[in-house]
Amino acid sequence: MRARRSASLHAALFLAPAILLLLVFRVIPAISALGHALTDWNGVGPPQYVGLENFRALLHDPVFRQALRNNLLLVLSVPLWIAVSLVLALLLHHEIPGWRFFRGSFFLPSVLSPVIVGTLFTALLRVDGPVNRGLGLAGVPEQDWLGNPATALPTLVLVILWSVFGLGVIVFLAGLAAVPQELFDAARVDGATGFAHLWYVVIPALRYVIEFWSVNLVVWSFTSLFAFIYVMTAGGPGYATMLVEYQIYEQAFKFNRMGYGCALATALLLLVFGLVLLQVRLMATDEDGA
Amino acid sequence: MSPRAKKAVRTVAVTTVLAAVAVTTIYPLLYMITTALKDRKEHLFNRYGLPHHPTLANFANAWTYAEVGRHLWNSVIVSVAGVALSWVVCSLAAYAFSHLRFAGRRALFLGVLGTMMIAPQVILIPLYQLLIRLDLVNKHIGLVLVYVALAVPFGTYLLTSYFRSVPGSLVEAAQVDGASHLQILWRVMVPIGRPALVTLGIFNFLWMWNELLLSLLILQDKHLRTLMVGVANLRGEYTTNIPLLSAGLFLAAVPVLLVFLLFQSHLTKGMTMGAVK
Amino acid sequence: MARTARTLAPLATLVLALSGCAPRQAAAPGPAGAPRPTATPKAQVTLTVWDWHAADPSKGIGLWLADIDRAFQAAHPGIRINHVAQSHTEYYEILKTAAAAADPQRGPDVVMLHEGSRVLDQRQSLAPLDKYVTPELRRKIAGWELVSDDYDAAKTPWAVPIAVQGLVWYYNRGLLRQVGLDPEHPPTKWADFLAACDALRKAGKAGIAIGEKEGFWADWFLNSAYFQTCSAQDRPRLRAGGMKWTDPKLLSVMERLQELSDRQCFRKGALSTPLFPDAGEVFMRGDAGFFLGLISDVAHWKEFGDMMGPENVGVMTCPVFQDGPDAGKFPVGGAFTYAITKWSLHPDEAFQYIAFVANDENARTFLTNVGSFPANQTYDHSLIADPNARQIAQWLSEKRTGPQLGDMLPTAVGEAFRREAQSMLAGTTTPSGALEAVEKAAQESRRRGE
Repeated sequence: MRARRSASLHAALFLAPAILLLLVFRVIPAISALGHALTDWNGVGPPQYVGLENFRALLHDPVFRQALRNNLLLVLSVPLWIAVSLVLALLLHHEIPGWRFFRGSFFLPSVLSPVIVGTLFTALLRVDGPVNRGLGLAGVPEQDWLGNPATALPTLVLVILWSVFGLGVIVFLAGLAAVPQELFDAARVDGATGFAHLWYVVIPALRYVIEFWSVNLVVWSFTSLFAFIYVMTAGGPGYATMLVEYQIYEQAFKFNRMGYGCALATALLLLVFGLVLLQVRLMATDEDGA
Repeated sequence: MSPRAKKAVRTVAVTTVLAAVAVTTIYPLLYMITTALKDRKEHLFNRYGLPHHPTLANFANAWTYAEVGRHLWNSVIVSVAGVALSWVVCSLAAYAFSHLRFAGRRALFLGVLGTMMIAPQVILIPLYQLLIRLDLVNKHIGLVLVYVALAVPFGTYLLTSYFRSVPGSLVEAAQVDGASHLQILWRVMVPIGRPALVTLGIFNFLWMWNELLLSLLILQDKHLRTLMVGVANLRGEYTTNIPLLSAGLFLAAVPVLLVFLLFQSHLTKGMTMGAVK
Repeated sequence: MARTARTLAPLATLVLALSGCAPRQAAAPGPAGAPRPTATPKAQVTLTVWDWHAADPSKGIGLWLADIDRAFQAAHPGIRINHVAQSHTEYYEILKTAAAAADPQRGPDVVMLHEGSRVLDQRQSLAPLDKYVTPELRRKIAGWELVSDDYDAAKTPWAVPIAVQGLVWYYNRGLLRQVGLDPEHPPTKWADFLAACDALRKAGKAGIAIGEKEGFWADWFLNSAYFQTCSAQDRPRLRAGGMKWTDPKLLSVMERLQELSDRQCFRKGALSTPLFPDAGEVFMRGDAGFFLGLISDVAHWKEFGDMMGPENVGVMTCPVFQDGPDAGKFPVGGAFTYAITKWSLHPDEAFQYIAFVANDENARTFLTNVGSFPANQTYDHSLIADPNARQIAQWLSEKRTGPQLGDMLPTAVGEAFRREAQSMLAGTTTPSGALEAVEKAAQESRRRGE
């Protein structure tokens, strides 16, 4: 009994700095924002209470629907991101000569700020740019990658993938390092060829890592892509690359509709939370696994 | 085919794929540098090729206009303080989550993680008002505290996973020896968890160094501003001088590139060992 | 989830009530602060000035502002200017956040704002200037209708225009000559203009150097062309809802825009080309014959003159597809202004500074050193060396101008137009479909009372 009370007291003390910081700088402003979701507020004058009006408008907002669609398409592409990082990690795991150099070069994009990444690729992806010229050598006709509504979102996704795949490679490498070599050898002895080996041996062994990383990516795709969109497309052309995160910025800071922006943010928060819960349940790992 | 030949073919195939990917990661950086080496007029006519008349003038000008000297120091202060404070705060919390039993532990842990889902745009205004009330605006410490608050969820998650994997026997042994929780943290967890701590430190340094919006908002006085802000000002209203901007962006990236090159192996060793355990 | 909502609702209402009080609390002088000074202070006054030009190294305007600060402080030893350079792209975000805090100690006294909707949107954070603006100032400075209530120059002004910005069409004299056209008589009729673009295209060049990435170009085209179909009364009608966006007058303009695209007058990759600096660079390189550009700061006569030689550049107004009394006009607006913040403790000194920035001498140096048109129109035209600039100055003094349609619209509606125009040019919607969507956005905006 005494040990438990002492543990609770210690826990409180140890957790205090972290909890305090979160409360003051994240939770309280968030609650304030939540409250503003129920108002009509231009950010400067007094807010006006309007109940659930903003949420009703949200449901009928075609821009929000488009943004949501784009966000969900992004989420559906997350398995691709996992696959790319996983495959590259597996290739690096062979430790061919020079593998450390490759590992380093893969990590390089993650070090650059999104502003730099966005500015660079906007230049490289122009119609008369090197990407088109390079693809032209392979017989691909030149495209307006970021200017064509059909290709804008996939292109944006690829650029963002470029920026973070290296982190995924590192994560999976670490995971692979923890997989006992016997597992690999046994599979090979059994005659498991490449793909089957991958599917039945490696992936189950990396379950926790994959779950961790995919949850990370999903949350990140909803909350942290702003700088990329801002620099590369500003949600355009038209609404082709509009994401909910960007719409919040537009409504709150460009159109002075803080109340509506807060409502959008609330919807986003609930959505992300729900998706993460769903994801975790689908992957069905036990409590202490995380 | 002999096993030796098969292995050679596989090595060549793997190397080709890896090299192709490496080209895509290195080329853009090279492009940024070659752009920075051209003057405006050359860039107008020769956008994508190598510079015919390379010049270092853009770097010099970017250094002056963006006041890199002064801003560099501010960035160092803010980032290092942020990293150090995050270590302390996250380690304490991670220890509690991993080795102390208390009611609501799991719920609280999920709650901490849940704060990652709050979109930053919307808390900007209430956050700023709060900072003014607490007299934290236009002070380095104000920005540092906000950064640490942002670092808490991921850092705590990472360290908790890692600390959890420390064998219970070690902890029990220390307790039997009469060590307090703080001592256990310092003497058992930290040394074993060092790879994770180093990784977390580097990771935090990277994003704190690159952060722009909050720094711009909270630090008004130009004597206090960080490097990214100084470089962002090179954009002006219409961004007319691309080579100058490229030079500035490159200067802003050099410190993180250096950190990356120096500590690469640490990062890759420990990135998410916690998730594995 | 439902349980959480039920507990959050009263909490949210409580927090709402508290935060609703917050801005007003912060605006009043704090208990520890000094009471508002009543007598003119003889002690040192510090004015904090925010703008996005001071840090910009690419143009002389940063230097111009620095010189002004020096001269002002020399002439007024009791006042110190604390000039804070803000990044342009995040400027309004920062400004609005500061406005929400309304703090006299940490917030600015003088702020730079774009004239038009930007000024009027921020009214609640600004000090009205009617007691400061003299008739002489009104006479000398142009653009008061863009900074006053209801876009009416006779009503309360909220900022002082410092510069004049406008949209004109530039053309490359050499290229026109190359395809057999007379540079002294550029194609001002629509059909002739299309033919000129065809000729340029056949010669391997582009007709118009366009940049639609940010969505400005369609905006600029609308602003430039609407004089031909709409009257001065239509502007307030559009804003109030009396005239719909789907009106044939506006449809006509959209169809012309679509026509330019269909006839391949645009350089390829329009939707991913930024207007600044890329589209301007296309024009400067001589890869396109026409460019819809500005009259001050960038992408204008000075920049083109420096790069191409002023004798190679010509200037004209929008090609005419529907003749009317206003057909030859070009739009002005969007220039920068200075305003005084509501919470400033030194509004008198702040206005002294602003009036100094806008004085005759500084207007002259603005024109000659910076290469932009000042709002203070007392400068001598003979000072202008560049023939295109002199032409524009002539037009300005003849009042051959009108306001930009976009300036009078709420931001949300302007943004909707820009995005719909992009969709139209990308081929995913039609001119009427685009305007229908804009009309819906305008109705939503009116519903919110914007």
